[in-house]
Amino acid sequence: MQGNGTVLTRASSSQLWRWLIPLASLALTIRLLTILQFIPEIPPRTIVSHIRPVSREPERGVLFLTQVEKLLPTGSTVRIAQARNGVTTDDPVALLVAAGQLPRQRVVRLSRLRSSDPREYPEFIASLGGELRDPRYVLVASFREGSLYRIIR
Amino acid sequence: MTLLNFLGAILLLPLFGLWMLRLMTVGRHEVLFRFSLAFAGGAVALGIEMLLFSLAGIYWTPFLLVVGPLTISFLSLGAGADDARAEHIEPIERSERLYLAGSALIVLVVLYAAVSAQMTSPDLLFFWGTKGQRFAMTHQIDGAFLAAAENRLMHPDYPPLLPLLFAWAAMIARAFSWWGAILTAPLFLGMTLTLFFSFARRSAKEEAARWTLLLAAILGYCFVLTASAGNAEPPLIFFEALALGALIFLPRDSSSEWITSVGLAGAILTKFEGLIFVSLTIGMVMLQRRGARSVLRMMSLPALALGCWIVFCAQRGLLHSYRGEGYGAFSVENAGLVLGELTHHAGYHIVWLPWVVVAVLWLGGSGKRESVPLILIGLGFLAFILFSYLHDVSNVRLWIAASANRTLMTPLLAFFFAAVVAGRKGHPGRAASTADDHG
Repeated sequence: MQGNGTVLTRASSSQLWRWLIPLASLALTIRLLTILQFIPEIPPRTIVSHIRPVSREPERGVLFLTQVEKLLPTGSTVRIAQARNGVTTDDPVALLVAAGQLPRQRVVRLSRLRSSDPREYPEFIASLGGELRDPRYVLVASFREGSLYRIIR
Repeated sequence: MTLLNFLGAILLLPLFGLWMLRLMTVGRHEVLFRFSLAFAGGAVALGIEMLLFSLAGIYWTPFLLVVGPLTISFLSLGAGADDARAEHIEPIERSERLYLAGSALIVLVVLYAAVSAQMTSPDLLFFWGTKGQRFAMTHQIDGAFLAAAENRLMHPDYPPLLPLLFAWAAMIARAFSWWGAILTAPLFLGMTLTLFFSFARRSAKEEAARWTLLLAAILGYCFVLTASAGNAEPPLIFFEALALGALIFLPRDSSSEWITSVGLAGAILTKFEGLIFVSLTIGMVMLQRRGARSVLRMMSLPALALGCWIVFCAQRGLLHSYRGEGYGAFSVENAGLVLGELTHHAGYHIVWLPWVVVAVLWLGGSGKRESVPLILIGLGFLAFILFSYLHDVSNVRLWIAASANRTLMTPLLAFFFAAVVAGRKGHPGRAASTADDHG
């Protein structure tokens, strides 16, 4: 009796083992397919166009910087600002992204604008979102995602 | 065109690691295995070379970079190949093909996720890609750029292998390809599966394809869910799988130890967490009482790689993470919160299925004692993760949400290998089939 029981237990464990891997793999693959969306446009406009959780912000930022980059001279200093109601703030995340999207320019921080030496001011400010209200800067170009300003010398 | 050139340069890496193929017997038909093995060697060789040049203040040029590794590779081609033993490695059988086709399908799904920008890692934009691009433009590891106050959030002293490979590809392509960087994720996934399958087949032939399917499903799902494309997890897992695979499935000899050493060097040079993995793996080797020579052999390449990087960082005042800067004091005050968040993120939005299936398979195996060192690696790594998150930072919940599910892949991989080892040594299925075979 005991011997038969052992054989049966072994046989059922064997079946479990035999099917567990394919079943678990199938479950994971089905779950994987459910978290993916069908994207008709391949490749999308940017590498962040369909990141999760779904957000248009990163795509907007990358598109803006791609357009701004074409207008900036190599080696120029540029500050990336988030503008809301005329008030601009430094966005550390935007600063990081800009360093990669503007490889030929030097991306600098807001603190430069507080310097007593005007030569420290960034030559350009790329303002994502609303308009920049700073008498030291003049508008160069406007895009749907934001505007580019140049310092008045 | 930039994308093609960038990817082409990445795909050239195996040329610099052909010497890896002299370290073990590889069947003629194992083309993808050859590629993956040589890729690992080529990536580590090129990475260490680029690091040494930067340490010495020598600017990279494509010619300068390829001369050394290519010479070593081609010299190794003449060294005694073991064609007789290679004949004994059997071609893939029909019963294996279904599982391998399933694994390939999962890699294709991951490729789709990558090209449709659904698994792009934000960290690629924040620092991995930016560093690679910058290094390519300056033809060196740009210490001044890493040290700049504006770039402090880029983790200046994070190990550099991934940016170095990106830099290599960007130098060849003459521009950085963000899409190319993303596409390395399915490539690393495919190579990880190839390595695992080919290693496992040498010791547990009948089950290797089945386990490979499970590994493909776990990693494919985790890579996409955790948005790992362009991040360092895919190469980290690749090198960890190489190290563990060689350690577990190959005979205990100096050749397999050198292969392990390459895997450990790749891991330590890819992510800060690689150092923890290497320490735990070396600890496991010591537990197995392999002898001082073996331990030294396995430690040599990772020690060289990490040593060069530490010296580079120290010279430029970049050592922050390795000194534990940026973290507050250790405190168990948040233990409940940290454990709760970690447990939540370990669920991978599929009720902990990867952990559960690996645990059930491990429990069903009869070689659990042999798998204990791997369990210890996994537990040790989990303890490290917990220890890290118990340091006072401004928003630990956000930190865990941003990193835990990716970091947890290493202990998951260790537990997966433990389940394979436990199952290999006479798991119930094997016992039953053996009994059947004998009538």
